[in-house]
Amino acid sequence: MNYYEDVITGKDIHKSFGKFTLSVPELHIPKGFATALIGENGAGKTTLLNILTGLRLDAKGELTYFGKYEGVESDNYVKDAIGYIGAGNYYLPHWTTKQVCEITSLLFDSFDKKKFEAIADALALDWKGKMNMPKKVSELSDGNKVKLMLCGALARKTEMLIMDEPASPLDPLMRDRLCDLIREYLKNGNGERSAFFSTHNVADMESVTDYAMIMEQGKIVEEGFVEDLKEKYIIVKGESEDTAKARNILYSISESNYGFSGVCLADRLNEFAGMNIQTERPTLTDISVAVMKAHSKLKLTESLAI
Amino acid sequence: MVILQNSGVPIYLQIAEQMKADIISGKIKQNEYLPSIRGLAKDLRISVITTMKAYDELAEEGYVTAVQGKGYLVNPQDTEMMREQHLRRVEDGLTDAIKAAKLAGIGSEELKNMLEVLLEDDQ
Repeated sequence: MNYYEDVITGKDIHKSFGKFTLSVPELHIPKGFATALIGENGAGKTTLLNILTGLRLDAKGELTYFGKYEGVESDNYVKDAIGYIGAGNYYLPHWTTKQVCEITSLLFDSFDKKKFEAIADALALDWKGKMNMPKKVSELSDGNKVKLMLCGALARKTEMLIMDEPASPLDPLMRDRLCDLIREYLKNGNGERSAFFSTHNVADMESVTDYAMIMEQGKIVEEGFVEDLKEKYIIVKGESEDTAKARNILYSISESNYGFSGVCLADRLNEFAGMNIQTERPTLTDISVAVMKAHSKLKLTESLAI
Repeated sequence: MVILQNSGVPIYLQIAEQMKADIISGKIKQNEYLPSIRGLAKDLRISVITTMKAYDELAEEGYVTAVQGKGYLVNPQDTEMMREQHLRRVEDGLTDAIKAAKLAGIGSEELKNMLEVLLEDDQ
């Protein structure tokens, strides 16, 4: 698949603390698409998002936004045009929902209060059409905090949504709705709007993901348009007598007494000649797990006698 | 349009096949644009890239032409040529069947009978 432009381009992004190092020599987030940043806990997803949104300004590297702004602080427009939905306490805990609305409207010229209320209502944010809700942010559930941030971001004119684990605190129905909201956001942008979100619930976000970046230990270890990745990798299943041979061909493997199942680079499939195998087109979840397995520090095969 | 998530057929192919049928039947008209990729993705609740791949498939096979900045335009369909293409596909399928029958030692009478039975089943 080819695309034409990046919404954010990064070069030599680098940040270390303690034993952890985030190192991304090249970053290209395609414009007009939904990009998922996938990885284990601690892989560095939030660090990267915080660098991109300007929540963390102590990283090295160059970032270009919307094809022309050099750095997140280079022009007010950059932050105006990015809607951020984060995991932490983005809104202060003692703010009431009414104050959230007022403060967002002070901070962002394009904020549309009517739209904010309409979205809050549509997401059933316990709103009941009242703008003077005294409820404090700290009293909201994690799911409702995400909804509140969605309202704040979607009620503005933006070119890009950046979301840190938006699906995690949401219930299954709301996750479904979130995917719809992202698709609608992209549709109404007609190629000019993009979404970038981190997730470890790949399956929940798969139906909306166009481009995937898989991160392990501070590095992007695989990336590409999902339809291309699904052709690059293939699932192979076979009998136990072939397990030993398959181990050398497969990118990642699960074994049992009954046989093996694994993910293989599609262009190595011919090496299975003579073995009795079945193949399947992988999902993004299959690919992500395989890539993560190949790079993880987790000891996956050890039996722990528990 | 019906999209099955677990049919084993990739979603982009399901879309491409159904659109081809609609183009051939005239349900989607010549010289019109297909729905926008992001609009169709939203309506079918799938990703933009899957829709793009479906449209690219149609473009590759000559059903539509990508017009930069505007979308995918349905090409005038040469019905004679399309019939020719379908004929070739049928011939290929039958040739495969004959080869397989030979390998299994199935005679031509038996093969013809099989075809008759299958045709009846299909009706």
